[in-house]
Amino acid sequence: MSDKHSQFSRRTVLKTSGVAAAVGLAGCTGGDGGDGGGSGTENEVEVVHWWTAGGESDAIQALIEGFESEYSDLSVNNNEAPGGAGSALSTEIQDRVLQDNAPSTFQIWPGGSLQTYTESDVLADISDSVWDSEMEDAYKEGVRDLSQDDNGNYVAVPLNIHRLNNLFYNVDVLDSAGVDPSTLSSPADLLSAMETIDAETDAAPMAQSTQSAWTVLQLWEDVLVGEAGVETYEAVLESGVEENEDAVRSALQTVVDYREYFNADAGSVAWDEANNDVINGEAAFMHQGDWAAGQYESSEGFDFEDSWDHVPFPGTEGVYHIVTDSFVKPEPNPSPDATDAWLSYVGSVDGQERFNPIKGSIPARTDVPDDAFGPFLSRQREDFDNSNAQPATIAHGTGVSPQVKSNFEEAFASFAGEWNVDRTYSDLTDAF
Amino acid sequence: MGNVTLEHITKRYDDVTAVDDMNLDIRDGEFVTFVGPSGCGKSTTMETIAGLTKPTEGTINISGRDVTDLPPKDRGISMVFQNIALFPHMDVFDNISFGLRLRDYDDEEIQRRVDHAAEVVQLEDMQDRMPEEMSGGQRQRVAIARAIVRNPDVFLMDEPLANLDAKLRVHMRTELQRLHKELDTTIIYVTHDQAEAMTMSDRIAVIDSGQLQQIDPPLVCYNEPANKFVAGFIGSPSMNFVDGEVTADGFESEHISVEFDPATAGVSVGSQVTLGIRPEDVYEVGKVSTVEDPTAEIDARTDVLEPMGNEVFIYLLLSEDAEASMDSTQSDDQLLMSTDPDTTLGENDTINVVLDRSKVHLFDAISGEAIAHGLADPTDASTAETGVSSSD
Amino acid sequence: MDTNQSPDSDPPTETVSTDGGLPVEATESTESTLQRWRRSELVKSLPFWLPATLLVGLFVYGAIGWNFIISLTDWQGLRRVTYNPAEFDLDNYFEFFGKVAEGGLLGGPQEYWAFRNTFVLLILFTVVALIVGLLLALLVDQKIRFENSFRTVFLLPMSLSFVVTAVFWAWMYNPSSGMINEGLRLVGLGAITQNWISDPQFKLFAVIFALIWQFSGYCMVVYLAGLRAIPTDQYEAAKVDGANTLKMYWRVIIPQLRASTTSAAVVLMVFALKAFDFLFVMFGTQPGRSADILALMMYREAFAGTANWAYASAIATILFVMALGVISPYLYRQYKRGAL
Repeated sequence: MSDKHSQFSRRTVLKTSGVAAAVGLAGCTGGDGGDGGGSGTENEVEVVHWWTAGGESDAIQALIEGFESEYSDLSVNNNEAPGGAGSALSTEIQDRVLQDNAPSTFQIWPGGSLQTYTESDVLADISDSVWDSEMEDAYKEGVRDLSQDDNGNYVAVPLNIHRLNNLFYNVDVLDSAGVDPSTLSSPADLLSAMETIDAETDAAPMAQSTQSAWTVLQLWEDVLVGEAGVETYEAVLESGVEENEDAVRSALQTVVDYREYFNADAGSVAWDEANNDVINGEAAFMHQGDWAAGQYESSEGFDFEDSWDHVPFPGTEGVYHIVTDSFVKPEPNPSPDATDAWLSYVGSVDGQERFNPIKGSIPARTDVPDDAFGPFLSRQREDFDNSNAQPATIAHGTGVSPQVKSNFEEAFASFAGEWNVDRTYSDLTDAF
Repeated sequence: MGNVTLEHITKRYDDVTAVDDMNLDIRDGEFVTFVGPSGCGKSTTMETIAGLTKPTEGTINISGRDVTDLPPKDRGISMVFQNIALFPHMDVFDNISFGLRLRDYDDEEIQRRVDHAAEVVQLEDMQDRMPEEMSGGQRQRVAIARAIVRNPDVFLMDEPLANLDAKLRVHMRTELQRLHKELDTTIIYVTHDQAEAMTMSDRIAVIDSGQLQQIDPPLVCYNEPANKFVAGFIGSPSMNFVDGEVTADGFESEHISVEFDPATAGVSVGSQVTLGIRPEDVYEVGKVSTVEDPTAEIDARTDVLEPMGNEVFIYLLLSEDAEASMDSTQSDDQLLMSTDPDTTLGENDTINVVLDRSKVHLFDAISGEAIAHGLADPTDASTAETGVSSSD
Repeated sequence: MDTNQSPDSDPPTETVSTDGGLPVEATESTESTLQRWRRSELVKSLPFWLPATLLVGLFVYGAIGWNFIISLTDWQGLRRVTYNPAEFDLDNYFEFFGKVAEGGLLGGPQEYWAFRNTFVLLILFTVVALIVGLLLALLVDQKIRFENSFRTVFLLPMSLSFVVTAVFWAWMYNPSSGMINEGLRLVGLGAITQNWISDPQFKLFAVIFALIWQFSGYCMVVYLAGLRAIPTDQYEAAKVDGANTLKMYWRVIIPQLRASTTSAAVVLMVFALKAFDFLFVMFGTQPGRSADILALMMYREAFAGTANWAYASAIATILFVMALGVISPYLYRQYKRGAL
């Protein structure tokens, strides 16, 4: 028993030092040791990713099948690293990179998250080998920017795009409260709509999880975009909160105001549990990335447009707040050519057409045919095509470095609970 | 002060009767020992006196008060335990003064009393020692000091010497007797060791199966046991018992016959009796000049010899086919005798022995009650004794 | 544990110690040094303890040492660490304790809160779990019916993984449907229902409460063993001397449970320092400052993408020293008693 519980921190200690130990050992053996499929050949692409849940797993499987039929001489070693949002994956990859035993390619949020790797020159420049002009033309600028390191070299290939600035709602609840979501044009409008819902119905005006920091953080991000606009938001990502103190404080205050209308158990449920309230008619709105729609679509008798619907988060029309996954090519690479082939396929129409409808995201390319996508995703694609800004996010790693992201999460973990604007603002000033 | 009376004390547990209708009257200043085999109820009896156990029936009087329903602390008793039971986290002073401190005596009074108690048990210089720093004997003295410091009417001692080594135990016996003389307080002492009981007590209460068998001074218990149990329990090694029948000529069994006049002894001819004779009352023929009234000679063969230094125990087999058994004193064809250490006998020698007729006991074979202590030669009427002798 | 010198049974004055001292010294001087050396018990026992000692030495103590060395560097990110003794310094420790010192009643860097919470958790959890365990043990010791069942019931939570109990308590604490608030409402105490694990006022205490629930059964068993080791004589002696039940327990019985208290407290404190799993499952890596502890912070610095290896190692070392501080008085006592 005592071992069982002590394991964690001791293991953690060991791991830290074990990393160092392994570096030493690897030095002797020529970097061939280590865990997890280091024995592959040049024709085998080892793909490390965190898509292990039902639909996600099917999606990556479809991508791999497509790749293997397109490149019949290459094969894929499908290496899953379970753990939400890559929590286990980054640990594994960092260990393996330090051991000179990097996989062929791994899943990562592009943009800021790449910094840990680009800082240490671990990622190969794939500007020439993968990013041909055909591919460049098919990506929007905001997405292309995320795929480059600080010197403007391409290092990542985005596969899919989720939208963050969604406001989902239960049609019946809004109807019975007499609220028309299409009229909401600012975060403040949303607040008054929630007042109405609170007065008119028994449902919680907004389903939300405040259990972990990221759901509160992303809500604040979209409130900030909605209130102060994309430029201000991007300035915050760029240079911190101080120059935009008023906007940052105002967005924090709005979230505090919203809090009155959260489900009562927001602090002890995960986002998907909160989302069930929308499905059950116990909550009206839900702010979440469009992965939340998968839950609606798999609910019997809960149909798009009839039972649930979606508007961009009030004040963020024309903005497609993107959450995207990409694959990269670590150096030294066990299968350089095969990895290039994989990355090219990830950036291809065929690959993205196979993957995205199953995953419930839209393709990173804009030229993928619409046929395979359902009505909701088709509408999202339309919004994406017409969007005039595609900002990155803090909560999903694209907008800031991992250190800044971690500091933001720290601040918002305390904010969710204390709901103290002054203290959180002061925490945020220290975040950069 | 200090007298203890038990009236019809009975203690029953779910399916066992530990104490069965016990009546006792212990006088002030008396040293009474409860003795008996393990599980006989002697400790339970003491616990009822202490108040640690409530009797199922009956009443207990201490110093003239009915204390049956009082807690231990209000009974005017103090107790010394088998495992000594010093509080290991307290030093000697704290251990001795614990009871006084609970009663809120003032510091001066406590110090005075503790000093006195420590002096009585000769531990004056050890008041700040911890129990674990002391020897077993010293700890036992602390336990006694803890008992006497409260000036109780009655001391209860539950096998206090049982955990000490043999030499220390003998030494502590004299210490306790000295203490008793000095304090002149009633002491009730529980032991399973009949030697302890014999040496220290004013009276011994022999208990078996929850019942009082006899309460008398030690020598009375030894010489005139009330029944076969007492006869067998008191004395070491144990008394020889031989089952037989009373004839017109006296006692008759397969190997032993003792002539006496049944009428004088108060037994009826034909009744089944058990003859009891202590090993020291069996004599080898030829060395019997000291025996005034020997019985008829008994043929025997020596089996095992146990030299004790001051005497030798010899196990005798009374017939050729007699098998040596573990419990030789209970067997009809064996006898245990004790003799001088300078005996020339060896194993497997054939000898003749006699019994000292005046030391022969007769017990009812069924009830075990004593019928006669000492018999008389029917041919010599002048030394005839009656069944219940009064040897004083 | 103890071999032949238990101070409880044998007072030193009567103990003749015949062990101790290597037999090698007693062998005859005519033998050559080599012969004596080969015959010595030390050499003969080598195969039994040497492999284990080497393995443990390398992988436990070696790793701890390595971890400490890393904490002296400024290793960060995915670059190779360089071990240059000339560059070794205690900057990470200065940084950590500097931030801790900045903390105040209401604010301050996360380090201050993690450090503070670790201590609060350590003290409060240990003390209350011991008290609850003691009370349970005293109750179960009253020769009650179904004693074994009670023992099992109380001990069971301890056998559960933190992962299970954390999820379980997250449900219990759910403000609208959880047992705690439902129970309070049921008995008419709806007014004191709280958002137990989201309100920063109660967060840490909710965690501590759940941990106490999980570990007081363990304390009970340790105390029960201690109580059973006390002879009935002690109770009777106290009663005869005039102690009522309360005084008997307070002045005679509980003081004799000091050894049980020490050993249970050591185990509890070490658990408290490592309550990582429970918080991790309940809150992820970011519990907010009101419930952050050093173990979580260390994990965040190292593995939450930030790769601050050296700083995380420094926190790990600080945790290690704290754990050492907790158990060393215990080890010292054992050593003094000759048990080591």
